[in-house]
Amino acid sequence: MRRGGPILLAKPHARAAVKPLLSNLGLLCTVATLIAVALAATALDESSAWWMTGIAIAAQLSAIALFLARSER
Amino acid sequence: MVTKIIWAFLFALIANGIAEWILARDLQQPINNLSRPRQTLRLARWVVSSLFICWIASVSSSLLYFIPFALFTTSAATDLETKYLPPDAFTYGSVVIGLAVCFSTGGWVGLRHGLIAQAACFALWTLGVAFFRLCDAGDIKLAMQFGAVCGSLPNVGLALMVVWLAACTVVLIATLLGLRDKPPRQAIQQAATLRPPQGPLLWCGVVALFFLPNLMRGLL
Repeated sequence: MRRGGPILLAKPHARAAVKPLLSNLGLLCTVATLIAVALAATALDESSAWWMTGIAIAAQLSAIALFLARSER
Repeated sequence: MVTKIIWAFLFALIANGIAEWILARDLQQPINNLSRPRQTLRLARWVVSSLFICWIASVSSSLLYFIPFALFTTSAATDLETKYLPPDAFTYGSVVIGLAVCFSTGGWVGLRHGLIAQAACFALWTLGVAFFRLCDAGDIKLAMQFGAVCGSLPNVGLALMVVWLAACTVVLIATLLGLRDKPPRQAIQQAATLRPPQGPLLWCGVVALFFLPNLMRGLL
């Protein structure tokens, strides 16, 4: 078993099965980022603009984490 | 103004020095191991980027902008020479520094604009890679850095227009060079499939951001 990593991802067949899921989730988060950015850029008041920016950054960081997890060997 | 130019020259030296260090250590390409033409290219990059940074210093209002710009120069330089980017820590760190500069120059609103700009670049480049294979996966980090340097969505749009013009110019020059020894149809096909490194093209867009507003003000 690989030390320090998730147990599920230690087995090659499990890793291969999880990779497409991570990719798809990452893409979903990316689309969510784009939508939140569009809403933040067109928000009418400062408060909702900040909320949308926060959602965009959370979605972006999730997407980065998912893509990094996918590319990990 | 002289003080600003001296500071900008120092930033240029530091940025090129970091690029040199990354190229020598991470990408295994120290200058003394290169062929003569590539040594010339590297020296030309030192001179051109330093001259541009000093020139921009003479027209720019704040020196703070030069920190993210100098870091972006480093990424663009390594991309130009090797088609590889600096390590993740450098590019993500540069994004954070770019956002810090946005905050220090524009307050919370400036920070929000910077966050939106880099998130938009991230999303657009990721979808471009995933669905259209427009660039390599590493270019997404570069795009985030580009967004943080631009600082707001209108600036990103303006810079991307200049990037598009620069890409068209590269294709045009490649076509003209190809016409010397190929029939026109083949030369155009070859130029159309050319994939220039994104770093230098995006760098041209960021440079344009510094002087385009002054130019427009002068024209109007």
